[in-house]
Amino acid sequence: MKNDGFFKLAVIVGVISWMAIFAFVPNILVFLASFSSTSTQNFIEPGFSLKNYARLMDTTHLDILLSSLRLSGLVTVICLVTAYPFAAILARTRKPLRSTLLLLVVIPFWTNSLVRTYAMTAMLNSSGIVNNVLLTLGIIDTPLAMMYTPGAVVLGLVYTLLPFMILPLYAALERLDRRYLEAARDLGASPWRAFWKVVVPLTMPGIVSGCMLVFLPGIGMFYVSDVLGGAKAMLLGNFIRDQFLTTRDWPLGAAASVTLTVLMGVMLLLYWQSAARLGSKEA
Amino acid sequence: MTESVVQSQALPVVQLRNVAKVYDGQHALKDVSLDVQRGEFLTILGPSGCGKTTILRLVAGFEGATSGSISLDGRDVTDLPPERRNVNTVFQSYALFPHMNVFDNVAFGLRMKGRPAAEIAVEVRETLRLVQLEGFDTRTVGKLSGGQQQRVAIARAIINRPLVLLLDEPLSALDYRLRKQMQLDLKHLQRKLGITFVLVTHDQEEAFSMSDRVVVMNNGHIEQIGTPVSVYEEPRNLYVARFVGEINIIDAEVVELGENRARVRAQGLDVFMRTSHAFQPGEKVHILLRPEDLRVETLKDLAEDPELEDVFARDRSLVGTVEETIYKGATYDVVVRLDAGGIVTATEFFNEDDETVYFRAGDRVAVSWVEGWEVVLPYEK
Repeated sequence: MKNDGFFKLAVIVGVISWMAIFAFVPNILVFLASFSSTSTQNFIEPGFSLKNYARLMDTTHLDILLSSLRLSGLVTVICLVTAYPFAAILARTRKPLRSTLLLLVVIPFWTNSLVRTYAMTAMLNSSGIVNNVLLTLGIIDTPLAMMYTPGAVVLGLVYTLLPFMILPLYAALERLDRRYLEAARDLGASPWRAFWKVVVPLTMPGIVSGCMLVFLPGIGMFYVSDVLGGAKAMLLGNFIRDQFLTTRDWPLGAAASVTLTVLMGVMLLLYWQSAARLGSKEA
Repeated sequence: MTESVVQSQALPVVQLRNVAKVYDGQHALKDVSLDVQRGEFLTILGPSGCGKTTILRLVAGFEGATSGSISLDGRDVTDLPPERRNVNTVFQSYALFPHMNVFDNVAFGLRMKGRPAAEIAVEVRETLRLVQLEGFDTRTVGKLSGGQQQRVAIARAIINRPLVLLLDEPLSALDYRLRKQMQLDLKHLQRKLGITFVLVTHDQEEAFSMSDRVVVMNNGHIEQIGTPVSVYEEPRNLYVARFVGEINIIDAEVVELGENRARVRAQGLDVFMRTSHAFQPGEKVHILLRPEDLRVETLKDLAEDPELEDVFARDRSLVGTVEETIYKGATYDVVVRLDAGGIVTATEFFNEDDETVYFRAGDRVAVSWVEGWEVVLPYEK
């Protein structure tokens, strides 16, 4: 009995110190750094000022932030509209085939996503598979310049993040009782209206969590932009990385990090609210 | 007379013609034809897997018939989707939309029809009053009790004034007392609205207490259609007889035929029995007797009381020994092993005057019944 209590205490202390040392303290340091300034001697001069946040708001930085959000938003929308029908079909497929399809969704996770992103260059570059096929078929005369464009980055992000959209949507759709759909049709709703009035609201937690799992990494996955987008920093993640490793402007990088964290926090809050609202009605 | 003529001329509100449904190579329904009359309360009764819910789903349009046709109000709807059929369903577990409150659930059908909001509000209130849920408009459906959810489901369906209301085991999730109450409420509601109700259940008591007509189903086909009384009193075969209640079955042989009667030999008896079947002498038959139609007296009482012996039909009595008695609350069952072989069960009321009068195991008894209360059926293997 006494041993049990000790073990429990050890686990709790272990977990808390782990979280404190590797998550809480670094976050606090970043948070503090975002209010400091930089000098030639030190990366960080302690102090308190909001000027880093003000600098984030200047046009060049704001442009990066906004275009990153736009790009990630586009990726999220593409993922949502491709994943939803797929997840819906998956949820209605019978058992043996369904497991195979689910496996196919998960298999890419077995390879490092950086490796998979490099593999995409073999598809997209001027002597890559896509261009070769199109040239051979005579659809195009000169190779398309697909690499190092925003389109390539979007494609790379969609490819990497699609499973994160499919899985929560599948979970939500699989749980959805088909009788709700039948009830809606029974009461005079066309399939289209039944979808919007019943299926979408009832799978909203899945939609929101899928969007979060795509949108947030979509802002930060700097290596996708590095490999497929070339030198131009397209994502907020590239910007933050550059501030820390290239420009050595840690306070600005920290301010951008904090902004990103706050953004995530707000989205999590929205998710909890929508889930809680639906949950209280289902209970 | 005139009423029956009018009824036969009136167009059935639902018509199933030779409908079959195959799932995964299995026949869920085999060649079912059924007419539902306007304004009646029809119950489809059968064990699970007999195809009764399939009929409901075919009429609602959730499933397509493999063959055959379905018409509503004379119009062929076999290939129409559910939203284009003027029928509504009360689902077994209600299927109320969890993301909507009571008002929005009930208003759903009218909104789909594009009715003006003001009209909808008036009708929803009126319908909620009808099902005794006034003031529940803004409640979330998940927080209602089972009985309340049930009434929301009914309100959501009847507000659309369907030609037919389909009810799929709507009371099975409720506890005994609430179920009894809802049976009455449903019956009253049906009379008040004049809407045709088609209810599916596996509970024969529920079927009998609510319906104008009962359809007994088994293994994908209809065994018998009739009023509760006719199904119970005149079952067409052993399956129906067994499904709608306890029954004693005695094997016998036809000896001689009379006018609507047959002389039958069974268990050492040789008596005339009422039957409209055209049997042949020597044909094997079943004699069916409901436990509550049987009368039991001890041989001792019969010997001591000549008056009792007079009213007791001695010439059609079977002699045996009480094997056990089973207490049922208002009644008790007496299980009698007959001297000629076989067991019969008789349901007895307690003696109001003397509650100690009670059959005991080992009592020598005679079992009898009023002539004409038996049912004689052709022999089934």
